Amino acid sequence: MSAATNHRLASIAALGVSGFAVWMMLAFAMSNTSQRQSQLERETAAAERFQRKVTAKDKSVAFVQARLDDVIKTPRAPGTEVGLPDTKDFALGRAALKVEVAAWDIDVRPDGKGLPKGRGDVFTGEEVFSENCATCHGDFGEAVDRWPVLAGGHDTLAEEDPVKTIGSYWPYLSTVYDYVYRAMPFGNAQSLSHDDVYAITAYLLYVNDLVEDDFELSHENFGSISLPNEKNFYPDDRASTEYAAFTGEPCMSDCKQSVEITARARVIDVTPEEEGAAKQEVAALDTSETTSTQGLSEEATAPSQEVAEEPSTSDALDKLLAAEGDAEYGEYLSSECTACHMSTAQTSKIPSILGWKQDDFAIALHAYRVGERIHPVMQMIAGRLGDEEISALAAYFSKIQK
Amino acid sequence: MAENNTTRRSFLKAGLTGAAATIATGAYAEGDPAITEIQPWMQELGEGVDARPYGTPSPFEKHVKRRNVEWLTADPVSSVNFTPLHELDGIITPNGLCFERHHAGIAEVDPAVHRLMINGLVEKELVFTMQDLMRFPRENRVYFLECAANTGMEWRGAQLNGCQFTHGMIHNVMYTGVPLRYILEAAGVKPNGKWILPEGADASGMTRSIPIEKALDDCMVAFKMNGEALRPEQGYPVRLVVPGWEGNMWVKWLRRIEVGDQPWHHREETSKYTDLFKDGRARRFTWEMDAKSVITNPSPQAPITHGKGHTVITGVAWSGRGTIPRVDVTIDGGKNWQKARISGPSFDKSMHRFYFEFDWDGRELLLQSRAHDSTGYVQPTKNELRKVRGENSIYHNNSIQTWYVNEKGVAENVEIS
Ligand code: HEC
Ligand code: HEC
Repeated sequence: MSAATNHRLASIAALGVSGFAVWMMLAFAMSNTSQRQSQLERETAAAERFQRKVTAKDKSVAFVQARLDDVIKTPRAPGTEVGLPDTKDFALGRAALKVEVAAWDIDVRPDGKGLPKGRGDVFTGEEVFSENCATCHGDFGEAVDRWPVLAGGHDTLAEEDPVKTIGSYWPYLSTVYDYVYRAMPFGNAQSLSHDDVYAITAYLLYVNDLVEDDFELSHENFGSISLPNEKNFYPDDRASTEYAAFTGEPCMSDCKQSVEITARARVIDVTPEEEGAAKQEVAALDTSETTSTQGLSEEATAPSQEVAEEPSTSDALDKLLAAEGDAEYGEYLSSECTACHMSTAQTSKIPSILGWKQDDFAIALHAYRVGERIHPVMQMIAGRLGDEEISALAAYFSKIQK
Repeated sequence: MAENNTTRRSFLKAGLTGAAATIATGAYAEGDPAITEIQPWMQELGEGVDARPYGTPSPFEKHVKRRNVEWLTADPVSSVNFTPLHELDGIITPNGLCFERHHAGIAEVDPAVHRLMINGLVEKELVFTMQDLMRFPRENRVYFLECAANTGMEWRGAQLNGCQFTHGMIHNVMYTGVPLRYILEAAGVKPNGKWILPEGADASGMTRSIPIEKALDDCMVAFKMNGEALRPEQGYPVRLVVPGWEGNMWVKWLRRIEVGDQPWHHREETSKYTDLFKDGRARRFTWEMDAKSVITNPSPQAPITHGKGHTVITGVAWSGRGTIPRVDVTIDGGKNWQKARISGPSFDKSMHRFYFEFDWDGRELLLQSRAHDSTGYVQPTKNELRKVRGENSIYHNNSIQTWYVNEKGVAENVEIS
């Protein structure tokens, strides 16, 4: 076999199948144009050209390899060199209608963009608030149980236990309007009219000592109200105040002389029990200093210790059903319920409670009260009602027909 | 009650090292009954293929679940529960164990009547059905989602005994979804469109302002998590993915995105998710989640039960600003540190899993881990962070966690000098 042929075979071996294919193409082109050349000449020429090609190819292989290394460094699976398409418009979706945008676009901004027309005064606000909001937030926004506090807390932000409210903390009044309209009352969102929300917002300003009791809020004067804490917010500055301090090679050995335990969770002990599992395991550890509890949010302080002792369910129910209900007292109490159970029609998720048989009504509320029927809001509400209140409400609502 | 729990409890009663030692020293002269006796599953036939058309974990794993801390919030409808980090390994959080935080309960949205609207400063205001969304080019990305309030109960001192409660407001999931860029480009953002306001379809109508640069960079509109449809509690049928940024911004049940020229300053970016400092002023728009890590085993809910000898410490680390090239571990409260081994894929803005193995001599331990991210940032100590921020900022506590482990292997949440 000739030297050239040997060379050719060696190259084929080195390159494998794809190299062989390249060589075949070259050889085919040669055979068409070089009829006059001898077999040996042809093979030599082909091998030389092929050699040049291989060198070029080696370079490009190295290039691809380097690219691949890059890709591997930023972890990417093979195949990702085919990128996402650049096409800007896939012609998907359809134009939104004006009525559709209007139905969903309810957001309000500090500059007043999105604020609907309307008005409401403090007195109306007090009424609407006590009907719809006071159950949870208290008559003056002071909050019932652990529901959010909406008023007070002035000058507490730099103290140990800051109270963040609309008056003490929130930067913009538009946020109150937007949030109340969008999300409150809890469990019956977007049920208030715009005038009602103006009135409630006026009332919330009033209970935060920011306006007098004759104040009326409207889309016209909304922009003139600013909240006292607005100036105390500033944009994230971690990049300039923290990152440099928290960057760099830390100490790895003999970093400190001694180590003391300065605080331990066991002292506070607010960890939920693992279904009665042994907490004693940790009780075996000794005590050191006490630290104060801190909740996820301000509403939360510490776990409530006492759980009310309930008499056995059936006895309690018998007692309840035996009680005589005072419909007039029921009417007085009913405003707490009609906030959600609209006095007229039944809304999507909230059932009607009008015209029920008194016993059925009492049984239903009792079931929430003792947790046999699960619904967080109703359980909370019924939990606060005594037998007298339940029978009164049952008597009142039974008389009202749909 | 899961049998595992019972076993764990009797172990605790018997004394941890004691029980382990009995087995090791061969108290079973007749041989281990687990081997010498025939177990029911060796003899009887099990359930057929269709008995569990959607598979669930073994009954022996019943204790592995999300749990809440009831006293934290007034009502479970606007509340949070926690991922059982101490029961997991690797980097992916199983869908059923991803922590939940909702503001008006779990919206059960019918995908057939779910729409995504784009409005505001765009050339054409658009409406998409779920089917439309699924016709865009889609991507697969693994990202962590951490609530900004994760570890928020620990600012003033060690409070909760278990990494589930101290660090469990995080999950790490592979999302399948559409780059948000495509959807915004379809509508055509006007030159003065500088912010977006994603909005949820639930009764809280969740909204957050996000700068357009982030929206066009790596945000996604996702409909799958770990291969299957999003779970209702994670925003089924579609949620926003905002990689590396605080979880509240990842709006669930996403129904609308408005484009505007200013931020909206809504409730979740004023009253909440702003960081109150000791001087009474507050940082806002603290979106990025700084580098953080925690040892998940051992930890208060997962004591060392095998006694001294070869011991595996493991944990997770993540950063909202990149990858985690390095985690250091100390067993002596920070006198000496060693580099841990990171195992599993290292993705940008995703959880990393680390291991540190050592021969435990049975002495007390003070365990800590310290994450380094790809920007060179090193996770600070609690005291370093408190020095800058005070104790009232609630959010963004990414400080180093300490577990004290006593001679019996029982672990407790502590702070050290
Ligand atoms: C059933 C109890 C309940 C009722 C009734 C209720 N709320 Fe609320 N409110 C809540 C809960 C719970 C939250 C917190 C929700 C969350 O975590 O997202 C809240 C939050 C708020 C906030 C924000 C508080 C903060 O600090 O961020 C305002 C303002 C508010 N409610 C106003 C109202 C108004 C006005 C009404 C009446 C129209 C009302 N609420 C009725 C339970 C209630
Ligand atoms: C914050 C809104 C809200 C308030 C306030 C409220 N409810 Fe309800 N109520 C509901 C919802 C929602 C349900 C449905 C719960 C369920 O599915 O179990 C309900 C259910 C009920 C039911 C059972 C209805 C049925 O069809 O089984 C009764 C009875 C009832 N409420 C009575 C009352 C009374 C009495 C009050 C006042 C003391 C009250 N509710 C206040 C929201 C509310």
